[in-house]
Amino acid sequence: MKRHLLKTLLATAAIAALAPISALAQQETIRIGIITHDTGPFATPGREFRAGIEIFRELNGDSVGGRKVEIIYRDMGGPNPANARRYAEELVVRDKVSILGGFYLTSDASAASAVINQTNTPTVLFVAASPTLLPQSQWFVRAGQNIGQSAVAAAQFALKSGKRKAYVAVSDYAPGHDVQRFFRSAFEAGGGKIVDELRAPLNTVDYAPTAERIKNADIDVLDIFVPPGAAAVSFTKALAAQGVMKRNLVIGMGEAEDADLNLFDDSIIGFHQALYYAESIDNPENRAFTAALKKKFGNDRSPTFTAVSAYDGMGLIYRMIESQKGKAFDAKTAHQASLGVTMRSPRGALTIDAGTREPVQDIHIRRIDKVNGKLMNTVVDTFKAVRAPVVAN
Amino acid sequence: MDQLTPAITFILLYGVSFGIVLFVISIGLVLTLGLMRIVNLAHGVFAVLGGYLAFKLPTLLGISFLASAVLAVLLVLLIGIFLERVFFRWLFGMSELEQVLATIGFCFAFIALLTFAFGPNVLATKYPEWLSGNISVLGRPFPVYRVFVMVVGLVILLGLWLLFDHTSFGATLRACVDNQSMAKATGINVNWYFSVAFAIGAGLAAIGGIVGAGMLPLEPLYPFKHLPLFLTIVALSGFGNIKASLVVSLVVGLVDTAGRYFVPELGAFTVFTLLVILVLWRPQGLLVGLK
Repeated sequence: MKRHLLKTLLATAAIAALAPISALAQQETIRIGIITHDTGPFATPGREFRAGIEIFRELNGDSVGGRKVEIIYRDMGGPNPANARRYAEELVVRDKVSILGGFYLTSDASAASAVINQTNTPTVLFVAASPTLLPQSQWFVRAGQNIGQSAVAAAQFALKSGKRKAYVAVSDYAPGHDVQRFFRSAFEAGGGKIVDELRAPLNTVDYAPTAERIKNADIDVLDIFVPPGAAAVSFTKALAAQGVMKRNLVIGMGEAEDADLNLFDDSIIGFHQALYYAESIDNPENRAFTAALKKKFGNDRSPTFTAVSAYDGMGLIYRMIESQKGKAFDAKTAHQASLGVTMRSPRGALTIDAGTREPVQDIHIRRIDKVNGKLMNTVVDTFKAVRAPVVAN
Repeated sequence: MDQLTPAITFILLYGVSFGIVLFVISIGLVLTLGLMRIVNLAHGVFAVLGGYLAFKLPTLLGISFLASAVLAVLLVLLIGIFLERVFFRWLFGMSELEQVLATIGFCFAFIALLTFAFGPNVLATKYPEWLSGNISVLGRPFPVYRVFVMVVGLVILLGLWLLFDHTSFGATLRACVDNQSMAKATGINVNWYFSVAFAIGAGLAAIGGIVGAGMLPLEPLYPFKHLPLFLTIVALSGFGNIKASLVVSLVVGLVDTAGRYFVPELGAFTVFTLLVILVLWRPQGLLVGLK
């Protein structure tokens, strides 16, 4: 307890000491800290974070409002919330960053919230999607999605398609539980019935038993949520092998983006996903984003929702910096500048709700098909201007 | 009853095919641990390396999947001999803790190397056409791929049995293990035999990695992620007991499949509960003392 108090005092002292200096040097560089995963099990989304940030700076420059922006990355190296807290503290206290960004996992953001609250640091959550997160800090603003947005859209799409008997199969971790709750309440509210549910542990290797169980249930729609990568590949292959993919409407979230489709075989055809980004969205921002991405990283690189979230997160951070108008950095002004704002994003219009600090955005239902001999996600339905649902129980 | 019969045939078919993949990958570890007393936590490295080579070589060299699988296993054999000479040999006679630290460190270094070379993503693995599709087994559709896995497993089992119990190589190797100094005194080149045994273990792991990629997807974290499964088999098999490790693999595959089917929420809990019970019941290995 004593050490904790001392730390807080030191942190406050450091910031107080810094204030007059930065007031003198108005044109000084503004630093932002990005907490990401460059190594470990989440290195794939971490790579997308960096891609989104780099493309944003390529298209929008590395300075804004007359201030040069310097980015400092911290690699979490794995799901270790204690590190997130430590890195947030180091970034704010030692590296003197003004704004924090990044955060792939909800647990990362949650662990850092105490430091953020003590140091009053405006923070943009790129992907962390738990509905429970924003109440933990008034400084959090979300650039990606509230996971309930996509889960509710999936339920509504199933209802719209005439489905009434659902199975919900999710990975047994917090985001999976969130999807399960949101899908269930939205589906039941629309007159559907949840026939059965299951939570598969994250370390599941062979999904054949899970798929067999689902096959034996009398259902017309299956909602799934598993992390992209090994789990998604194994689970969808097992579902296809049991004929579930052909027999039922199967809806997921981000399991098989275009960038991942080379991992799947043709058995994935017909798989639906509800998400706030689709590769095929046709607007100037998405065209520019995709072109810049392919130019920088090669033609076989496809855009992902993670990269677009980081891109938009940077957009919010740049607005925060712009609001300073050359004065000494004021956290409150910066935070306010991100609220109620509407941006033209590669995903379409993105508004940050001033009250909830959650994004308001379109949710696309995408279906995997074979187009010109190549697997691709195509948008089959779009739910316009979806708000974050109120937390369901 | 009507519901139970399909469930039981399902568990039999899928449990046995999963168990056989575990057997093929783990058998190398059972051998090295049993023969050479090395706790090699980096054993999965050979499996994932074989898998990466087998699925990368067809596009690089323009050869068929079967040819590249054979080539990959041979390459891993050679790499196994090389690594045994320059690295693993130094671990003989060290304490278990030192062996564990050295091999887990090697495992992490290799994971970083794979990530650096191929990226952190799962490797795209597509088996050739003739392995896709279903056939009817016991009155239900069953993937051809899983039949193939079972066949490969049985061939390996037969090969090992012939090699160890019916050749002079096998007899010599067993002599090296049972009494190293006496074997040396009779003029046997003990080090060479250990190198070969280690390489065989690495090659078998590679086969397991290639054949099992449809169940255990290839990714840089593979050697670490699936380590608990491999160690479960080894712990229950006892030192160097091939027959026991087959039985144990099948039991683990069946219990895991049944557990995930009947009580999905418990997940790996069922199989690890089994591990705890069996280790308490037979700490020396499942079949030890049953002869």
